[in-house]
Amino acid sequence: MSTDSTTSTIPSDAPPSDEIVLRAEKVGIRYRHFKHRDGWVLSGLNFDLKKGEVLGVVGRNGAGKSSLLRALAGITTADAGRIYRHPMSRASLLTINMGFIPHLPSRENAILMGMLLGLRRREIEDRYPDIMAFCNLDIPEDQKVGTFSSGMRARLALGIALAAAPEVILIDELLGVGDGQFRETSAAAIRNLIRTDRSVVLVTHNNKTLGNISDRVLWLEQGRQQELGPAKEVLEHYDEYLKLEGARPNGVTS
Amino acid sequence: MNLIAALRRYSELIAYKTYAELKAEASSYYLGVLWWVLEPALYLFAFYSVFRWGIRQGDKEFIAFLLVALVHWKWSASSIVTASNSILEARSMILQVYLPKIAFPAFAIATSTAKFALTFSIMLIVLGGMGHLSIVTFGWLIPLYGLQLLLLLGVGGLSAILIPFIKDLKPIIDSGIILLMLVSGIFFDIEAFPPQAQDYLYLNPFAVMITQYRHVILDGMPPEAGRIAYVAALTTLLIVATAVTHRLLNREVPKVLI
Repeated sequence: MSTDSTTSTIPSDAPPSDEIVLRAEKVGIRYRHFKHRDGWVLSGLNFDLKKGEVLGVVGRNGAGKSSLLRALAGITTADAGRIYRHPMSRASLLTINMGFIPHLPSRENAILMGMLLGLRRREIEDRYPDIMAFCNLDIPEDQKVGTFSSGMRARLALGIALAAAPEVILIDELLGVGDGQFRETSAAAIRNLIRTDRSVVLVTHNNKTLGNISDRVLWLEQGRQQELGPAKEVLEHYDEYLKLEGARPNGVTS
Repeated sequence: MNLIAALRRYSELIAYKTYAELKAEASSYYLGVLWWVLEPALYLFAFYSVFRWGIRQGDKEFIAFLLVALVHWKWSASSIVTASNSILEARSMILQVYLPKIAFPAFAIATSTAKFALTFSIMLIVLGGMGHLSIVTFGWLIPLYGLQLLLLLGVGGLSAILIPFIKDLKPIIDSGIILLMLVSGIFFDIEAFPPQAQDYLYLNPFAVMITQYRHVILDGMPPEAGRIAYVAALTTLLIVATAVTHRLLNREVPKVLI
């Protein structure tokens, strides 16, 4: 459900490869009401996402990371270039603000979010026990989601997304919340996804997590692709840049 | 994806979202689901009191005339207002999941329609008790309600998609609803006006629909074909305009919500 016609599937004139689930070609995203950079929050992005790959994305706030994930999820369209998606792949975006209804308990929220992520009601109901087993939430069945901590909501969001089992999971800062145990559980869950050939695009300011999980890292700076390469190498360069610039990851907000 | 295909594809989601919204609303109050009955009952009682014991004492025919209009107007007004704001209010969800934007006004109209069903039931009990109910032509309500739903989707859908781009439309719609309430023949009988004035007042499709509901529910008469054809034509235009606007702006909406 997250995917649709505006984000193209990989067309016949693209290099045929079952190994590539997403391809960005000269992608630019523009928010016309933004004054900064004439509204271009992203420009000139080129990369492939391979089947079973974890692509980390780093960059200071305002670099365009969340905008990139929205475009990859098909929520927005590219204003320049094209995003190609493999015809058999669905991409779902996970954030801490999963759109839960605070006055409802986890079951109804899980069913609703599962349906929003493309499952039929019956499918998500069948998978609900697995979601709760993953979330490991020791709470009464009727406890409303509005009373959950951010870590509990993150567990529920990740559990629902894993149950929806899209081919591409786009994770925006979800692993930065919750306790150490949740971070370990979620990192293990992502590794399991890779074993099932799922692909992940992961945005987090936690470079240690990125270094441990990612195959490659894309570094964005002011909406442009600064570097793309092996995780360890790019993260080293990014850290050096931050030290040189005296810039902190949490700088400007877009 | 075209408008009709989107609505068909997401019908299960619309039904579940309606249930979830109603349950969430009920669980946020101490009296819970009782409010689903109490709220429309109080609404009708307030107007009943004013006209039964106040402005037009003892005029039972007028009270029945008023109740039918109020119940259907409340459905229209709440659908349009909530549908118009639905995309702005679903900002966090829209930035997270792709859904055709027409789904959001459809959620709002479905929720208002579920509430209308309860109000309608209360209205039938009251009218039955007053001896003002004519059930011989009730079958006509089905096509009338189908037309009304499409009209609401046309007005609510178009405004919902445009409001994120033109925020000035929001206060215009909020004020326009009050104006429409005053000129839709809720508190007066448009058919008592001279024909030329009727033609002007019936340019408002909600005035046409309210008169037709009175014909069917109170008078045992079928709807007027000419008037209904006008509403159907206007509704078709609105649906086409909504479909075109949706096609153009569907994926642009998230960008203006950021």
